[in-house]
Amino acid sequence: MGIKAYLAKKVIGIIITMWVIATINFFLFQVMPFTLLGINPEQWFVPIVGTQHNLQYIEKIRETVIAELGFNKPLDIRYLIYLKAMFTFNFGYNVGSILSGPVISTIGRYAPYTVLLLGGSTIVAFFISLYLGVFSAHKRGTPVDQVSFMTLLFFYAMPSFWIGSLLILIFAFYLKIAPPNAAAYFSSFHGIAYYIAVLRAMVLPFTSLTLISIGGFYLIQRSTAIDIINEDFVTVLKAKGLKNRSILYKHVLRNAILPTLTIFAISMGFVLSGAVITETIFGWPGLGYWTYMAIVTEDFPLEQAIFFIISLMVVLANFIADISYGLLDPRIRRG
Amino acid sequence: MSYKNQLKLFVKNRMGMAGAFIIIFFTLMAVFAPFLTSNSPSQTFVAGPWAVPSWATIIPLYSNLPPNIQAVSNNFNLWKINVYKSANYSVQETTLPSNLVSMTRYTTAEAQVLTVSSKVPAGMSEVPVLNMTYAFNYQYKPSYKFAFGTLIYPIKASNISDLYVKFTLIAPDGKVYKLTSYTYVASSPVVIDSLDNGLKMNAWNAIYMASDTTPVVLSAFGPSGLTLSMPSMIILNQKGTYRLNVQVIAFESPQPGYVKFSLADPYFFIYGRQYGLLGTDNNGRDLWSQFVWGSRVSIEVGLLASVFSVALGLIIGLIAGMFGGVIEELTMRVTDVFLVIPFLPLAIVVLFLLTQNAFLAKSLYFWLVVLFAILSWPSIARVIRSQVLSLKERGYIEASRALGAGNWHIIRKHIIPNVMGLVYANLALSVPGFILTEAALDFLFPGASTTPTWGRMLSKAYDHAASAVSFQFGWWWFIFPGLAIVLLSLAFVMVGYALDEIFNPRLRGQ
Repeated sequence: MGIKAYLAKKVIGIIITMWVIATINFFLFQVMPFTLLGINPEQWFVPIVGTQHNLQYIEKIRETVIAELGFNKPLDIRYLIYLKAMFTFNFGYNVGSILSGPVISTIGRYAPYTVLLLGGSTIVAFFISLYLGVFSAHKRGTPVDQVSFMTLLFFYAMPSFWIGSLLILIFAFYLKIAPPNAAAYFSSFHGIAYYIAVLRAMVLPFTSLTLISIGGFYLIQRSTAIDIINEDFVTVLKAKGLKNRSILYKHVLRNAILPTLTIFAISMGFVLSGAVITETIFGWPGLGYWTYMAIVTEDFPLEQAIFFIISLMVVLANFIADISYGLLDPRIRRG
Repeated sequence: MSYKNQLKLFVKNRMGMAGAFIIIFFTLMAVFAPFLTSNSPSQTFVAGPWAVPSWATIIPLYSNLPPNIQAVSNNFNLWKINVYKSANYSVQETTLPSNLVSMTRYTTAEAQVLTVSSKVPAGMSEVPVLNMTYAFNYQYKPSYKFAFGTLIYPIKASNISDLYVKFTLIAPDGKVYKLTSYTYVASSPVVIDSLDNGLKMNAWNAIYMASDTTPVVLSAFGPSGLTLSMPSMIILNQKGTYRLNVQVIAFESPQPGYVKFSLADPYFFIYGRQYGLLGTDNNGRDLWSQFVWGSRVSIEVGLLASVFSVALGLIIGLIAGMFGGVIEELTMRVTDVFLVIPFLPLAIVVLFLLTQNAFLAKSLYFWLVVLFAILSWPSIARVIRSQVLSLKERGYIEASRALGAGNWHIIRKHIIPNVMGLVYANLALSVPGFILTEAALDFLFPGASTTPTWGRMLSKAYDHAASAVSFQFGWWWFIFPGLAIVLLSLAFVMVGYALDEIFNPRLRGQ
C-alpha cells in the first residue's frame, strides 16, 4: 500500500470515529434535563432583569429562542444542526452556574493549565522510566530490581484519588508547604507572582501524576530492555570492551525505546483528558477539572465540547503515533 | 495440555498464587460481610469520632486511649441514694417493655426500677426528691464524647409546677460540671417525643443527652497549642474518681403536693477513642464495617463487568474471526471508536444521567457494570479475533475441515479450547480497571448512592482531610480503603500475568 493510500485510509478512519463519538455525544445529552446547545442564556435573560420577573414572559422568550435556533425541530434536523456545530467547533455558550461566555473560549482559557500539568508530568515520567527501566532490566532478578518493580507496580495500581488525598493530607494540611486548592491559591496573585504561585501549586498534582504514570512506561521499558539485553549485538558491544554504562544507556535504551515511545505518544493524546480526578482533588483548573465541574454545575454545552475535543486529541495522537512508528521503524511500513 | 497440568503450573507460580490468595481473602470478606461486622456501616457513634483502631493502642502514642466505657451501673444497689426527708423509695426487678429496650444502653430487658414517692411541702422553690450518686474511676486520656441519660416514668404529680432531672458530674479535683436538666410541666403534661419540651405522664420517657463533638477552637483555653477541643475533652481530662450525680427535683409547690415516679437505667457512656479493627470516622461510624461491605461492591462490579465484557468480546470475536464479513468490519470500526472514547468523562456523564432517574439510581451499580461491559468488549473481541484468524490457518483445522467437520464442530473442538487461555487472562486483567473506575466514580460523586464502598470511604476521608490533621491524621481512614483497592487490583494483575504465562508458553522462562 502506498503512503498516500495509507494516509487516506487513516484520515477516513478518523472522520468516521469522530462522527460516531459526536453521535454518542448528541444522543447522550438528549436525555439530559437541559439540552440547549447553542443558546446563550444571557440573551434571553437580559430583557427580564430589572423589568418584570414574569414567568410566562420568560417562558415565551425561551420558546422563541428555542424556535429560532431549531430546538423545536424534529430530532433528525437537530442532529444535523448539531453535527455541523461540532465540526465547525461552534460549541455554543456556557450555561452553568459558574462560567459564562462562549464554550470555545472557556476551553481556550483552561486548556493551557491541563497541557502544562499533564504534558509536563507525562514527559518527566517518560524520561525517568526510560532510564529506570533499562537499569532494572540490567539488574534483573536482584533485590534492587525487585524492589523498584514492586514499588512502581504499586504506584501504577494506586488510585489517583488516593495518592492525591495522601499528598494533600501530608503536604498541604500537615506540613502546610503547599496549597490544598490550587485555583483558590494562585487566583489572588498577579504578574510574575502569579506564575510563581501557579508553579508552586503545581508541585503536588505534578508529583501525583508523575508517580502514577511512571509505572506504565517503566513496565514496558523494562520488558523490552530485557529482550534487547539478551540480543547478540549487546554481547558484541561487551566484547568490544565498551563500558557497561554506555552499552546500557546508549545502545540498549535506544533500541528499547520504541514501544515505550508509542505508549508515550498515546498518553500525550490523553493529556487533555487523563487527569479528571487529580485536577479535581487539587483544584487545578484544567479541562479535567471542568469535565467534573461541568456536570456538577450542569453546564452541558461545556461537557459536550470537552468530550468532543478530548476524543479528537486522542484520535489525533493515535494517528501521529501510528505515523511516527512507521517512520521510526521501517519494518512496520513494509509489513 | 490438560487442565490438571495447567493447575499444577499455576500452583507453582508464586505470583499467581499470591494474587489468588488476596482475591480469595477479599471474596470471603465480601461473602461473609454480615458475620464479620457487628454494626451497620451507616450507624453513627458506635464509638467516639476519629477513634483509632484498637490494635493501634500498642503504639505508645496511642496508649491509654479510652475504649467504649459504660461508666455507671444500672444496678441501683451500687448507687448511693438519698431521698428527701418525707420520701421513701423501693427497688424492684422488672422487665422493661420491648419498645424501651432499644432506647437503653443496656441490651437486656431485665432491669431494676427505682420508685420514689414523696410529699412536697408548700412554699419551697426546689425540693430534691431524689439525689443519687455513682462514683467511677477514669484512668484514660480525655474522650471526645460522652452521653448520659435515664428512663423516667412520672406516675403522679400534684400541686407542683415542674419536675426536673438534673445531671451533675463532679471531677476528681472537685470541680462541678452541670450537665443538663429537663423539666416536666405538671399542670399540662405535653406528649412530645422531643425531650427538650417535657416529660410525658404515665409513660416511660427516655432522657438522652450527648456532648457536642463539633470541634471548637479554644485559643484562650488550656495550654498553648491546644486549639481544638470539645466539651468532653475538658470535662474528662483528669484521671481519678468522678462522681455522677442524678437529682430529681420537684419545683415550686404553692400548696402541699405529692410526687411519685420511677427511674430505670441511668447511664453515663464514654465513647471510645479506640474501636474495632479499623477505628471510626468523624461521626463515629464503624470503618471496619464500611470496609468489609465496601469489598462487596468492588468485587461484584469488577468481576461482573469483566465476565460480561469478556463473554461479549468472546462471542463477537469468534464470529468476526470465523466468518469475517460485515461483523468483522463492524467489530474493527467499533473497536477503533471505543479505544479513543475518554472512559472516565463518559462514565461521569452516564453516572449523572443514572442519578437523575430514581428508578435507575436504585440499581446504580448494575448499570455501571453494563456500561463497563459495553465500553470494554471491543478490545477483547479484537484480541480474540486475531487469535481465531491465526488458529484458522493451522494445519489441524484444515485437516479437520477436509474430514468434513462443520464450522460449529471446529469452533467447539479446536477454536474455543485454544482461545480459553486468552479468555482467562483477559478475565483477570480487565478487573483492575473496573475496580479503579468504580472507586473513582464513587470518589467523585459520593452522593450518588448510599452503598458503602472503598471509593466513597476515601471520598469522605478526603472531605475531612483538613480536620483529620488534628486527629492523628485519621490515617486509619485514609490508608486501608486505598490499600485494599491497590491490593485487589494488583492481585488480579498478578493472576492475569500468571495465566498468560501458563497459556502462552513463549513467555515462560522470561
